[in-house]
Amino acid sequence: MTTLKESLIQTTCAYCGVGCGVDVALAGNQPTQLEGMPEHPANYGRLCVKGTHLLDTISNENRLSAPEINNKQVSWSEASDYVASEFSKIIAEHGPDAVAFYVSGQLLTEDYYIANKFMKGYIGSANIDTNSRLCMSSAVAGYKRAFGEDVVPCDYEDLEHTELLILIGSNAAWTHPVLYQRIARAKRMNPTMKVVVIDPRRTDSAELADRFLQLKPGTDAALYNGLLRYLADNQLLDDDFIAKHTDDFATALAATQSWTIDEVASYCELSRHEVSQFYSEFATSASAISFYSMGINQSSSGVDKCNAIINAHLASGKLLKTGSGPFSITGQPNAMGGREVGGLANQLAAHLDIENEQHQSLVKRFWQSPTIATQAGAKALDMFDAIRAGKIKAVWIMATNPMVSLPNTDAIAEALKACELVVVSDCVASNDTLDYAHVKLPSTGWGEKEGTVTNSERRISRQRAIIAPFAGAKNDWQILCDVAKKMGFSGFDFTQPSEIFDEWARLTSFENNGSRQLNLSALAGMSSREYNALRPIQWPCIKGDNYQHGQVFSQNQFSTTNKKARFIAITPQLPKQVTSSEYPLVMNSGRIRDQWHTMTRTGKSATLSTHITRPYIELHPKDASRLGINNDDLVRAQSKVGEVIANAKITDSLRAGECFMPIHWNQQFASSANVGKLYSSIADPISGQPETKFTAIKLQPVEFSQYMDVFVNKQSNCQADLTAQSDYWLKVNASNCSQYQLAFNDVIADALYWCQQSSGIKGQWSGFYEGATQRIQCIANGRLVFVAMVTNEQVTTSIEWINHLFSQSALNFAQLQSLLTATPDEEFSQGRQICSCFKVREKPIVDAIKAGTHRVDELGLQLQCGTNCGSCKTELSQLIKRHAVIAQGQQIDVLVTV
Amino acid sequence: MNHKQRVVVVGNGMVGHHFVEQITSLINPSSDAEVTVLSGEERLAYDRVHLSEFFAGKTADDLALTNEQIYADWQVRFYTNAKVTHINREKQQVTTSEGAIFDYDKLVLATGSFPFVPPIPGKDREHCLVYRTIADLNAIKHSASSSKVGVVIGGGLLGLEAANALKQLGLETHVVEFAPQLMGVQVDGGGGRLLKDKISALGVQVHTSMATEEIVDGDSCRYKMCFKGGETLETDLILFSAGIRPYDNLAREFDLAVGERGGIVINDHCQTSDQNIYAIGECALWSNFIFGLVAPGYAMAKIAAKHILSSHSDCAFTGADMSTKLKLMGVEVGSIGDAHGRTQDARSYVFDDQLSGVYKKIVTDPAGTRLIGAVLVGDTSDYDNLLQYHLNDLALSVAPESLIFPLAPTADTISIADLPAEAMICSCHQVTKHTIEQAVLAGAIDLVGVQTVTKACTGCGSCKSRVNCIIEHCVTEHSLAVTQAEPKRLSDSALIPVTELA
Repeated sequence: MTTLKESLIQTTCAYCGVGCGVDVALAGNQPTQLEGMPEHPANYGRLCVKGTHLLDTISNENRLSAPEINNKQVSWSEASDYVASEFSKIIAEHGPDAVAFYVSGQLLTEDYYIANKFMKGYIGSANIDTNSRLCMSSAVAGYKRAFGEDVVPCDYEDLEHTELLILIGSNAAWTHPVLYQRIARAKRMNPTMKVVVIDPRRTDSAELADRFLQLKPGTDAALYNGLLRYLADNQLLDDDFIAKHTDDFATALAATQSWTIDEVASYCELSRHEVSQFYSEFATSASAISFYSMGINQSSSGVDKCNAIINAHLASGKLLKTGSGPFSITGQPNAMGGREVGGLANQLAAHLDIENEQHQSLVKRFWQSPTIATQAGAKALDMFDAIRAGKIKAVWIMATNPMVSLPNTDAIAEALKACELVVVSDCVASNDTLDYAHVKLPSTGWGEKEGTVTNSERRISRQRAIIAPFAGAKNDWQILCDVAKKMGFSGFDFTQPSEIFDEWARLTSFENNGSRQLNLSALAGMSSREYNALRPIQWPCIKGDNYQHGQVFSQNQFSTTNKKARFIAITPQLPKQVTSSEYPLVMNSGRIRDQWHTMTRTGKSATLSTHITRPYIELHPKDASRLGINNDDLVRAQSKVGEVIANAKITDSLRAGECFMPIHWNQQFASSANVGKLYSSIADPISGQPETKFTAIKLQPVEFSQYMDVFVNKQSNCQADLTAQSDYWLKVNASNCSQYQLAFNDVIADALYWCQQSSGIKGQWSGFYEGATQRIQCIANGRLVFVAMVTNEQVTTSIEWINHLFSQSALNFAQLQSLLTATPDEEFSQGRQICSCFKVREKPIVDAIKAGTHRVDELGLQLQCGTNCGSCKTELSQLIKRHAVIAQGQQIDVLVTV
Repeated sequence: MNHKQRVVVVGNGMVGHHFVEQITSLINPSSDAEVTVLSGEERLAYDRVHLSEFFAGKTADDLALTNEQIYADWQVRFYTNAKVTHINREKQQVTTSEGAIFDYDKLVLATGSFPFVPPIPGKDREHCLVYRTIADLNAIKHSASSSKVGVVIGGGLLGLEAANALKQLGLETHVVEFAPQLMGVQVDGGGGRLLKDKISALGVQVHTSMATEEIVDGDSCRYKMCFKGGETLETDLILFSAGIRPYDNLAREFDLAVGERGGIVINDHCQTSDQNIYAIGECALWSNFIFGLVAPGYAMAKIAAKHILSSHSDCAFTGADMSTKLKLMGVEVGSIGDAHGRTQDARSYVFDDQLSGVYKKIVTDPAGTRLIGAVLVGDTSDYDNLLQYHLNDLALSVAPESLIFPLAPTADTISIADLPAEAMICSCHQVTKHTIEQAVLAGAIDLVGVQTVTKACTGCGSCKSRVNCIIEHCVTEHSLAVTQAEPKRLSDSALIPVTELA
């Protein structure tokens, strides 16, 4: 046996905006192991559970191998010819604004740069927008209004040096777990550090909180307006900073006049004490960070909320100092890169303004392009409206799944159906959007791509290929350049990403002269070898000895024309989608710990699919009892524009009258669990970011006549047959099998026959029937290949148990009997999986807690839970709180040791 | 009674004949009773169960269950072509179509049944036939000689027998069934599907869920069958096998009680509403049920015979087990008890091997401790074992699924020694283990001997292996020598006490 050559490749995680470095060990050309990169300043070796299981998601399952035109395979040359000629034809007939690109925070900076250059400098339209519109465009607009440039004025290290960390509209414990762990560690090292969590939901992030403010949804701007007034009323302003470095303070303060503590308390539905305590802590802390994310941004007044936050930091001088600042955290690996190159319809490139003639000229001259976009293009929602209205006739969607991620799914479907030409480049062969594509282009996925990404603290890191591209897949920048060249454009003769990066770095410094913080001049002129070896680096990175990389707004000089930051007068607005007697409940949405976006990647990992196996709708016990809904019941949520079905999860972590549903499940995984369907197309007027944290719904229990839990082996290809015949379905992936939870309005009397027909599997079938209960199995060549558990009420079968049986090379009689009687082995009746890394389940953890282990770290010593990525520590802490038997006189707060 | 009791039997089918056999074995023919048989057919009783063998080369004589000599030996008076048309209940007389009058003290109606022909327009065309009697078989043979395609309407047990007959006659054969499955009485949906696959593989085209609406002139064949939904099928010959109807016209005409949907109502002693008239077999309605199998008819025959000879006899008909095991065109099919699992809260265990073409299902009571039904298609080797559990209400000593799943470590078969003495071995002739053992001890030490003495295994034949086991067990246990005296016919009352052996 020859020993494979071992090597190590450093790259960047595919998921959230933290941008963790990962080390991938290879044997030969096969990735064998993945770990956090010890020296990466984002994570210093840590990884969350999603990052830990990145290699699980590298699979050739559901990959497109060659381009397709109208579902027929074609060569790359035919495909790019076709796209080029169709785009040219439509542009010639209807003008440049009749075409659009809808791109993604999944693209690398180099891809993004080419797409933007192509659209704005050559096609001559600004109809390029990104799915980042959905997560942080309000933050961009907020920074731009205040600082004159989209610059995040904080670093991750600030989190470790702050005295007061305010998590507002962020469930970092689940969405940015590595940062959350850095915060938790900082808090242990600095006992005076305080954490305040502000959220309508008591999320896992609240586990760490000294104070939890469960405010009314959408009232954040009022809370910060009140803070500004409080600072002024109590002479706690940084008068010097305000005078020297800001404008418009007086008007902003005037707008806060009505926001007394009493008014804020009543508006936000908090107690007076909660509000005043928060204000006083903010005022008296030496440093403070407002850490915010989608809870702030995804609002019809998200930009104002951002500026209300920034106002308070400007007024108190709590920014551009260690441990202080308004810190927006992005959700995608390269949302920041997109913002930088200009991948939004209302930006030009490199933080230059689209409607500024000088800027237009600058970029046009730099590119030597035939034209330049001179006015903002269509933002995401407007873009799909324009498609539906026939104004945009061709759209090229890259690396994103708008059929799931955009609100009002039915309207998006209508738009795509109406569109003359839908081109989709993606690394998957099927998703809800690809169903509408006329042209499908296989692009490379994470692990195959070379380029750079920028994380939430402006740190540029290399993403490196660890495996060869799948079959005929090409990099997005290559696909774009090919089409651009075929449309007759020069300026796209790139042969490798380093050349693109070099041009991009030169653009950032072109005629910059300190007017823009975004300056990568120190990175221009790198050889491809230097580019390949690039270490993670924060911008600005300006050539010359006088500059410290990563330092922004030095000497408080902002990017506005007069170098002063601007206060913005804020009038708080409530959400636009309001409740009524018909739709009396509020629906909030968000991520869960182990899934990401629309599950196209994380859905492939069996491990990640076991923490939360199915979509759910959280509701308050009071609402549940009023509506007659029990835990795990299937419920239907309806808004004015759509409906979804998911299992009820009753929890008092919500406010009464409010519900929550995860965003992840799409139509590849569930018949009707895409929460986006419930949201109307209502967006912030400035940023165009949709309001997807708040809509009005009604809830009702749904009952079916028959329920069937079907498990099939991974080789079988019967999803369409199983799901087409059911009235409700949900898919869960495990390592050896896939589970389909099906429900039917009409009872299938001969379930055995139905299973045989729908699965197409031939083998030795067996079954047990007792009244409405039927348990059906199939064995082929000794292996279990099919299981169905049929009942007239919803019962969930342990997927780990069935998965274990699917792994057996020869199923024995006792195992078959256990299926007939639906009696899992002891080890599979241990409750929910809490720790995904070590597969530790709820029951042993609770047993240990009841036996007296009341600390998270002690649980880890005993059971290993929480000792790898740590993502489950908050849940462990919750379990301790719930199950610990407290001896008399013992303090409860000793339990919280995340 | 100063004269010999006159017993008149109307009908000489299998059950009528069995009655004769039973009553003559119980009486002293010269003294007790005088038996008269009136047969409407031209020949004496023959084996209808194996009727299809007629096409495999067997003759009417081969199928005969008796002959004139035997009846003469038993001192039974008999008349063929003697169709009874009149009963005078007051005078206790019956009259034949030819005007012959017979007095009776006890009248036994064993008129059997006739095939049901659904009221489809065109059903009376020349080559639309039924499958019931040897005369029908001759008509089929004749029609087939000028036909290429044949269709059987009805996919029940008899319909498939008939299809086999058509196939043996060299016709392209089709079975058209109204229900979604074949043999819906005996097997469940899963078994029916496999049966359909197997029958189809043997070259018989099976069309289920088909309602025939009309029979018209054909284009390429003699006739065209038109189905609901618009499909058609061309054929030269149509055989109706859509169930049976009891021959109860005598009862209707002469005011005996009949059921709402036909059948002569009888009590547990097989008496009709006139206590001097009995009805047995497929013309009889017991507990609102007509038994379409031979075994229950035999049981009725036995009970009626005993009751006629001694009205104080406490033997009573208590229903019959409808279990069957048969081979249809080489396809093994078994059905035991509640094959469909219709018993309240019953449990079912199914094994459906698509690869080897075997379907097995067992039905147990709600506790899973007693076997109450089974379906076997493709392999009936478990039949005997399962039937013993069912007939003798034996508690299952293992998990029910062990009985049919090949993965089970050891198949649980009941040893003959464990069977209780009263265990019913031959359902057709109601022969118990005890009776067989007594016969063996009396010298019937092989199958032929036991068949001769006890009649066991002379009906459907499905108990053959069990009977052999008992013989073998008994011979070994008692170290019986193989040379013994000629076995003699044994009646229940003539059992040799065990003590006499040694």
